Amino acid sequence: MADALEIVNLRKHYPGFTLRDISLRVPEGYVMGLIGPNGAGKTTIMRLIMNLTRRDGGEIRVFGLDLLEHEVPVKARIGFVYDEPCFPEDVTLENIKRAVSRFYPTWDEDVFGRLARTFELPLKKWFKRLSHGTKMKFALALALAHHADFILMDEPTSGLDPVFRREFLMHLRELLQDERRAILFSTHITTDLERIADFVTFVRSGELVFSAARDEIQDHWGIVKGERNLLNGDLRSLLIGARESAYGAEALTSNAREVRRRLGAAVVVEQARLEDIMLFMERGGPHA
Amino acid sequence: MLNFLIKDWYSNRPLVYLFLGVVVLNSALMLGDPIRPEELIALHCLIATLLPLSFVSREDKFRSTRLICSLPLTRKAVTRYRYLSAWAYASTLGLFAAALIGIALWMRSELPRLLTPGVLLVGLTCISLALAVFLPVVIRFGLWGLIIPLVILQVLGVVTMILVSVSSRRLNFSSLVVPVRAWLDTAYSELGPPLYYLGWLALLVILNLVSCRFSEWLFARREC
Amino acid sequence: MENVLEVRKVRKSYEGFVLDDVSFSLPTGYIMGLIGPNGAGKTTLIKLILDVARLDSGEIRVFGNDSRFDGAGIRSRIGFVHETGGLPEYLTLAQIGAIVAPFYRQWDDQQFRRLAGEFELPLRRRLGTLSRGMKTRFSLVLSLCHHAQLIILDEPSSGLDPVFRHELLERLSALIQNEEKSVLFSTHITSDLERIADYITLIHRGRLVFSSSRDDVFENWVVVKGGRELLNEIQVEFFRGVQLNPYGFEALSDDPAEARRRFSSRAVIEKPSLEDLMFLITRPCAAGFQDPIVLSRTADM
Repeated sequence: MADALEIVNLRKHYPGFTLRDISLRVPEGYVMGLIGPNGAGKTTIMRLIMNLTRRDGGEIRVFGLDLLEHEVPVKARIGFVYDEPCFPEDVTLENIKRAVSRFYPTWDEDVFGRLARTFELPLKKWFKRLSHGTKMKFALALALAHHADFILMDEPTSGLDPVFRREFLMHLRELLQDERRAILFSTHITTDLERIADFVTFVRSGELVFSAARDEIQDHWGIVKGERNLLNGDLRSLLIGARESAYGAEALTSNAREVRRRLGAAVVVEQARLEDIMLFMERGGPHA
Repeated sequence: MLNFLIKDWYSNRPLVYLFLGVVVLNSALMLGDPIRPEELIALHCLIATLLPLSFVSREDKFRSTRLICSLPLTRKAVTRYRYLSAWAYASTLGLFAAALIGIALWMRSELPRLLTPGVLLVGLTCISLALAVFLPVVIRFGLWGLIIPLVILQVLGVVTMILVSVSSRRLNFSSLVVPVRAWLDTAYSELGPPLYYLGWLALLVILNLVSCRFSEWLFARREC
Repeated sequence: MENVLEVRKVRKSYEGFVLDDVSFSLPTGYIMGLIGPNGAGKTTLIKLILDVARLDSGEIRVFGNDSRFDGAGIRSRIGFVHETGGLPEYLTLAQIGAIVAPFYRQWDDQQFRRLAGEFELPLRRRLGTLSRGMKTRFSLVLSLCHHAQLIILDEPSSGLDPVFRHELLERLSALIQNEEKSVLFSTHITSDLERIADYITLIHRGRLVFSSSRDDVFENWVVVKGGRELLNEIQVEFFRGVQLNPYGFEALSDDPAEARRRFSSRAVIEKPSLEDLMFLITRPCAAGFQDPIVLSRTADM
C-alpha cells in the first residue's frame, strides 16, 4: 500500500508555539481526519504540507516525492481548501476560475461546470458578496476540478449546514473509488469524521497524541465509569482527566484492554467518541 | 508566463481600466496645456509602474499570496513571472500613453518627433527605477511597502522645500534638480553615440536582474 | 408571563425567498434550537424577532409585547451573540464594554468585570488579537451584562473546537438553571443541540417543518433503513424523505406507528439524529428520487 502523504518528524517553531516531531501517513485510497483544539497546530501542518511556511526539520513526501525537491509536480496533484478564503474579493467567481484554472494542465472545465451547478455557485458575483458557506463551496469546486489525487482541506465544513456537509462527505467517498486518491482534512465537527474518516490524527499543543486507524482508536480508547475509589491507586497511571461526581467517577483511558483486564466487572468501559477524547484531554492531563 | 499575465488580467481587470482612464484623461491635457510632451510621457511611465505594483499589493491585501504559492509553481518562478508581468503591463501602459499623447499633439497639428531614442531611454529608465526599487518592497511587505516609502518621499520633499525657504542663501533648491534637468535635456535633444544608449540599457537590465534576485531571496523566506 | 417569544403566522418575502406561515413559541426559561439548511430563513427570522427587518404579515411577541411597536425596548432586554460580532477589532475589550454600556438602561458593570474574569478574558487586550473562541466568549459576556432575559445566538459555534463548544453549552445551561432566562440558539452543529436544547424548531425553504420539545421530536419521527426492494411506489409516498445509498435506503417518517406496522419485520427502525432529520427532510420523494448521491455525476473523473 503506497502512501499518498508521508510526514516524518516534522518540526516547526514559532514564538510561543512549537510543532514537535509530527509523523503520519495517509495511504492511497483513504481519508484521514485531523483534529485538535484551536491552536493545536493543525493549520501549521497544512501550511507546511503546502510549503507556505518553511519547516525547521523533518520530511514531507507526497506520492513518494519529496515536497521541496518536486514542488511543481507535487502541487499539480494537490487540491487545497484553506480555512480562510484566499481569493481577490472584488473579482467575479468566473474570473477567479479563469485565472486559476490555467495553471493546472489537468483542469477539467466540465467537472467545474457540474460542480458549480450542483453547488449553485453564482459565477457572475463578486467573491466578497458570497456567504461564508458559498465561499467554501467555491473553494471546493476549484480544488476538485483539476482531478487532484491528494485533497487537502483545512476546516472545509465549518459554517456549512448539515445537509451540505453530508452531501459533501458522500461526494468525497465517491472520489475515493479511484484508489490512487487520498484526502486529509481537519475539522472541529468530529461527527463528520466518524462518518467518513478511515484514519484520525489528533494533535494537541503542537504534539501528536495519536495517528491511527479508526477501529484501532475504538479498541484502545475508552471511557471508564465506576465508583469513586475504583479510580484511585495504581490504576491512576492508566487514566486521563478523571472526573468525580456525586454518583461516581469517570475517566478516559488509552488502554481500554488493560483496564478491563484489571478491573473486570467492577467498572464499565464504554467506547470513547472522538469528542470525548478531546474533552477529557483538555480537562487536564494524567493524574489531574 | 502567459498564464501569469492572464491571471493578473482577470484578477485586476477593474484596476487596469482605471489606469487606462487616468492615462486618457491626462493625455487630454495635451490638447490645451503647454506641458512638454516628452516629460508627460516620462511621468506616465512612472504612473504605469503603479499598476503592476498594485497587482502585487492587492494580492497581499486579499491574502491571495497563499493561493499563488499553492499553485504548481516554485516561488522562484512566481517572482520571475511577477517581474516579467510587471514589465509587460507597465511598458504597455507607457506605450499607450505615448500613443495617446502623440494623437493629442497631432490633433493640435504639431507632431514633434516623439519616438526618439531619448524619449524611449527616459521612459525605460523611469519604469526600471520604479520597478527595481519598489517591487522587492511590495513583494515582501505588501501595500504598506508601497505607501510608506511614498509617504517618506513626500515628507522629504516637503522638508526640503521648507529648508530651502528658510535658508535660501545657503541651500539652493534648484541646485538639487539641475543635474536631473540637465540629463533630461541632453537625453531628449542630443543624439549620443549608440554605445552610450547600449551601455545605459545594459545598466537598466542589470539593475532589474539584481532586484529580481533580491526579490527571489525575500519571497523564498516569506510566510504566506 | 408564559412565553418569552411567540411567533404567529409570520410572513416575509425577499426577492427569490419567502418565509411563510411560521408559528412557534418559546416558554420562559428554556433553550430552543433553531435549525435548517443554509438559506432556510433562520437569520431572517432572527432579524424579524429583533425588529431589524420588517414583517410582511403576522405577529411576533417578545416578552408579551409586539416587536413592531417596541423594538428598542425589546432589544434592550435581548442579548445577541453573532458569529462575526461586528465589533471593532482595534479596541480593547474594556473599551468596547465602555462603548456598549450607555446603550443599555440596565448595564451592570460589576457583572461585566466579574464575567470577564470568570471567562478568562483579558480586558486590556485588543479584540483583534484574540482567538475566535475568545471572541465568541466575549460576545457572550457582552450579551449577559445588561440582564437580558432572552439570549439569541446566531451560529456562535462555527470554527470553535469541541472543547470551547462544550464549555459554551455548559455555561448556557447553567444560566438557564439559575435564572429566568431563555435561549434561542441557531447552529449547524446539531449534535450540540441534542445535548442541551429543550425545544427544536426546524425550518426548511422558509416553512416550518416542526417546532416541538426535543423528546417529542425523537418520538414523532423515525428513520427506516432497509434494502431497496422494500421501496415500491406506494411506500415511497409514505415517507417524508428518502435517500438511496449503496446498501439500500434511508427514509424519514413522521408516523412511527404506521412505519413499525409496515416495516418492522423487514427493516431497521431507529430514532433519527437531528442531522438525519434535517438531511432527509431535504430529500422529499414527491419530486422523484434524487440521485443516490447528488454529486455522483461529477465523480466520473
